Amino acid sequence: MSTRDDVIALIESWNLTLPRNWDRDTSLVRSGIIDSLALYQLILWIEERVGKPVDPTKFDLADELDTVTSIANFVEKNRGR
Amino acid sequence: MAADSTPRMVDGYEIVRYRPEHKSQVAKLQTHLWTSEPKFATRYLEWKYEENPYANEPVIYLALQGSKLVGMRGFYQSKWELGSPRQTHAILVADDAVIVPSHRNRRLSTVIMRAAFEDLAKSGHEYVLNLSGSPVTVVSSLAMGWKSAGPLEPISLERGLNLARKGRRVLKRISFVHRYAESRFLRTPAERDPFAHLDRMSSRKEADAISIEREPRPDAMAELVSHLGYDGRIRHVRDREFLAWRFRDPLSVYRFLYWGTSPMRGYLVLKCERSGAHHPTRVRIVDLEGTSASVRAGLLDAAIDLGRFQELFAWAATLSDETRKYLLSTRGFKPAELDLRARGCPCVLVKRVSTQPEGSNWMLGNRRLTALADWDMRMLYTMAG
Repeated sequence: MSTRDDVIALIESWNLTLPRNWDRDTSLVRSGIIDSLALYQLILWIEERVGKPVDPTKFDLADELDTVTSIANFVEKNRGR
Repeated sequence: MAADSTPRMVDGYEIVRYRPEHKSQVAKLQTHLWTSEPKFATRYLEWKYEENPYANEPVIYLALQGSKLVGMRGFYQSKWELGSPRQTHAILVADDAVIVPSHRNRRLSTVIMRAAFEDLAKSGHEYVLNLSGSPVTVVSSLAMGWKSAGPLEPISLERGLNLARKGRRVLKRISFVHRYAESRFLRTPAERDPFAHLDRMSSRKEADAISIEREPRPDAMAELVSHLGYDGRIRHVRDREFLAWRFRDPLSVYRFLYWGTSPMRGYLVLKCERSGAHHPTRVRIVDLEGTSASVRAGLLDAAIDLGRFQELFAWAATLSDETRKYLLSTRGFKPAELDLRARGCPCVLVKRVSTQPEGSNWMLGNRRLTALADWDMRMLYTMAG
């Protein structure tokens, strides 16, 4: 499975109220679909993937984690750095 | 949406401003947050929002489904000062975010906050703050456009583990019994009351310069603060009204070390949680003032030596160089809460709610709200203190 597939599986496991035709470029964070606890769970999941703590005050969270594509890119970019 | 305005419907939720008839429901909702006892939750609500010296009325946004309260976000009033000549600004602090478990993951916290921001902008507010929020709060706030001014750098001085603490650490690793590890019955007397040793020392006569008391002296403390030098960084106003209100926090227990009586030359305020639910042995340095470095050092020495606390905790980020060096180098304080630190927490969060055009920086007077170097942030100014 690709990182994108992993992100989609993660988001679907949360039973969020998702738009009917959502896809990898649907806004998830700016739109508020992922908020509060789910967003924190996403950060913890990313930390597991990149193998280190993620400090969300150091980047534009709403921009860099807004869609499945951007989340996957963030993981790939930070993995093993 | 002012308290008397029309409620708003979003995603099946009705967002309304708090009115007195909501009090019992709100207190019940807050038992998810601070305390399991509704009477303490009610007292806390009254203290924080109704008795606040700078508030005309509570600013709390509620989410109702039918007649049932399912979520809330409170904003308590605060008053900050900065610069020379000194100017003051009233700013709301976002706190008390609760969503009942069955309504989580439905974007309700976003719905409440968006309604709140819009309403606060219409009411003329320019900025709101969030101080020392949990990692969940920090992450969700950043997603909504809040900015961090910087981390508050927790530090602590810990005594060696006693037998009881070692035993609890072992229990925490064992299935089924781990939930009893923090039971009150497994705590030593000193852990049940972190101020026990300090209180026993309060009757000592040899340390005449310093007295240890249970009650604040708001007049003398405010008088002292008003006569001390001020570097102009953003800090909370410490007038008589604020200090008299602040130490009535029903979830906290305070002790006050005073240097001198008339005039008072310094004070140190210590706090522990009344319930001991989260950090049973932690004693926090909430505020420290003195007419000289030796007075401040003397107060810290007295707290450390007479208190014999299991854990003495402080924020180092905006301390003066002299105090930071004293605590970190001389007395052995070390960086604490390393997991939180690695995630940028706790921190000062700022959000601009005004819809008016903004400059490139979020400014209060000539100080940058988003730069911790422009703040003098003490625990006293936040609900951690």
